[in-house]
Amino acid sequence: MANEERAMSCEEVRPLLREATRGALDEQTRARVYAHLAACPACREVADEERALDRLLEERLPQHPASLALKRRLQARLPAVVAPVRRPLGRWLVPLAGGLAACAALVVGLRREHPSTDPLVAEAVSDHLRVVYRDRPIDIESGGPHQVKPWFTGRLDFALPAVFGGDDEFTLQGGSVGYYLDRKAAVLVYKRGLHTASLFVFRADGFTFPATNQDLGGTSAAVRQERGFRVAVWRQGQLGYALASDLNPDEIVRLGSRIANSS
Amino acid sequence: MARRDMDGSAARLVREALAYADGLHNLARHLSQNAAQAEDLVQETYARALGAAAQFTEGSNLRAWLYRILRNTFIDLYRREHRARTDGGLDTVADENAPVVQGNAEPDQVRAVVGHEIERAMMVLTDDARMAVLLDLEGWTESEIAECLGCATGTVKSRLFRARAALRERLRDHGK
Repeated sequence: MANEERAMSCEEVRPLLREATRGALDEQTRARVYAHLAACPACREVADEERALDRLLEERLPQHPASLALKRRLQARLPAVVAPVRRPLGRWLVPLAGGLAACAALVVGLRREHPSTDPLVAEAVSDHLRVVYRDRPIDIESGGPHQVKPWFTGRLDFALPAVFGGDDEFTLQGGSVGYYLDRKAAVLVYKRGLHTASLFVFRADGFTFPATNQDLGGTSAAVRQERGFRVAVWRQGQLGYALASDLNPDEIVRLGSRIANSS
Repeated sequence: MARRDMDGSAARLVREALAYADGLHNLARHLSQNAAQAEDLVQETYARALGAAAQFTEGSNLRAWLYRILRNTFIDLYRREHRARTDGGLDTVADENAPVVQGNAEPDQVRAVVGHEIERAMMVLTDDARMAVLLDLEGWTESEIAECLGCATGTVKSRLFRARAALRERLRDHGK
């Protein structure tokens, strides 16, 4: 008891000041700390500084909440794990067969020196992941373009031009209606072997398209790498096209050229 | 079937974890000081959380678990060559890029101290000391912070004491 009532030294008080100024000490300790403070101007000054530091940090330290775009991306990847089974490596962010390759791609994406900030390119990858992860990425199975294209009629707020119906190299799996950023989009899914490519067709008005660097047989496109995926984005008339896949650069240009020349 | 169950609960866990996205991003930004790295860090944190969901004990502290994943991810990705910044012992690092904030005797000007000056003062601290200060500021208990940093509660206490003393020293004239 005698020990508890002994006056505290500065060395004992100082480490307790942070809690003391926040009212986080038990009653007895608090009483002893404040008894010391009443008699010690030096510790009182430190206590004042503790309060001031809390206030300064609370009021002035910039806060950086997650952007809505980031939250949306995080959310978008979640359904992937709710529907696993068919994917032996059905891990979040691991898109197709070959978990290691995808992990490598992820690391490449994380370490990119100049992250793509183009929203059209970033959206293509996010939406492609959504296609890959969805239980039923396709609402209309393809029996050929003549079957797919009419299905979109009335489901979009624009007229879908002729669609590339596939060939020996790329097969059209089917389509669905999705969203591209803030607007409706026709989603067409192609396959080349085990690789999936997602094509999004949407109204181009109001969008700024990234600088082009690739010719798709008469149409100029921006071809970028984003988070380990290849993305081709281009504009034809009133419509925008975004193609995203884990295809290699030559393949995505070939597929893009066939799509651009079918429209 | 077991696989489906595991994946379903993993998804639920990460869905619950989305509630911490703002706090995780804030911390990621204060650790990396880089907007793109902060976003990558948060995305990788959620990816790892999902991958490790089976190791999460139901009913334990999800928030501390997530922040710990973020801390470890940050070290893995960005501090591999600079481990000294997180090592115990001293809680401040000599950093020529984080100059002492200049004090000013004029109260109005003192109040006008801009946030990025405080951030730069924070950069004097080691990563773990900075994390401790930020989490303490958000109202975490010392034992929660200890769980997150993987150290003893007593270590958190002394680390906070030293880190805040260093901040007080650097920001002394601004906080009054």
